[in-house]
Amino acid sequence: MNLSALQLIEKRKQLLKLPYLKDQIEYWGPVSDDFSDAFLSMGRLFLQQFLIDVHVRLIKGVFSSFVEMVQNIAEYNQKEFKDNIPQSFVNLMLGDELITITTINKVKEKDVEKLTQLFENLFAMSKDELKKAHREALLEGKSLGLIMIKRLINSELDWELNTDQEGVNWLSLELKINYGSTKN
Amino acid sequence: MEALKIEPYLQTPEIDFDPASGKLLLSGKSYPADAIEFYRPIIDWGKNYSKHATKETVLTCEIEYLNSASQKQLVELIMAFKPLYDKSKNFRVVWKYEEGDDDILSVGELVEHELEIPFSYEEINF
Repeated sequence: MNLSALQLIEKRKQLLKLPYLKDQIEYWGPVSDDFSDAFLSMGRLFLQQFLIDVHVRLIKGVFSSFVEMVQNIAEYNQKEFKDNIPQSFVNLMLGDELITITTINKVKEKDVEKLTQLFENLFAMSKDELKKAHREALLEGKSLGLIMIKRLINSELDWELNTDQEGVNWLSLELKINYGSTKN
Repeated sequence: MEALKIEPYLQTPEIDFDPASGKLLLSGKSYPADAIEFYRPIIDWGKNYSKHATKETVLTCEIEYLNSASQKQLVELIMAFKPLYDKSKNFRVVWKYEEGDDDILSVGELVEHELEIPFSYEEINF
C-alpha cells in the first residue's frame, strides 16, 4: 500500500476537520444500477491509488469481486423492489495485508431458502468443481458472479442470512483478500 | 453493410468493426450494469455480418477487465461469428490481455476450447 498517499490524505482531513474513514470507502443507502456505476468508478480509482505495488492479477481480482458484489445487489434490488430501492451497505477497506469487502442487502422472504441452497452448494464445491461450474455458467448463461468471487486467489468468502426484529431478511457477504504476499 | 463504431466509456469498451477490411476491434474495460443491453446491437451486427462476409475476419479483443455478465455476452458475440469459421475457416480471434492477468487469459482459452475457433494470444500493457 502507498502509505505516504494515505498519510497525506489523513493529514489534510485533520487540517480541514473533516470526518475521515481511514483507508476505506463506505456507503449505506439505496443501491441501484445508476448508483453502482458511480460507486464502482470510485472504487476502481481508490484501489488503483493505494495498491500500486500489488500484482495486477490480484488488483483485478479485488476489483472484479467488488464489481460482482455491488452489481449483484443492484440487480436484485431493481428486479425485486423496482421503484422502491431499499437501503444496502457496501464497504471496501484496506488493511496492511488484507482487503475486506463487505456488503449487506435486504432479501425477500421468498428468496431465503433459494439463497441458502445456493451458498451451501457453492461452499461445498472443490476447486475443480468451481472451475467446472465457471465453464458451465459461462457457456450456458447461468449465474457466474459468485463463482468468480469464490475462485479468487488468496481470499476467503463468508456469508450469513439474518432476520432482524422487524422480520426483514438481510444477506451479509464478507470477502477477505490477503494481498500482503503478492506485492511486486 | 455499415461499420459499427462505439466510443469507449467508463464501463464499456471501444467497438470498431469495419466490414470492408474484416478487422473487428473490441478494446478496453467492460463492466456495464446491463451488459445484455450494451452487447445486444453488437451481437446483432455480428450475426448479420456473418451472413455476408466473404474475406478473412479477425476479431481482436484487447481486454483490460470483464465482469461476469460481459464474459457471457462476449461468448455470445464470438458465437455470432462462428458460422464464418464453420463454413470457410475465415475467422479467428486475437485475444490480448494485460501482462500477468491469467484470469482473462483463461477465459480466452476456455472459449477457444469450447467453441473450437482458433485463438492467438498476446500479452500487452494497458
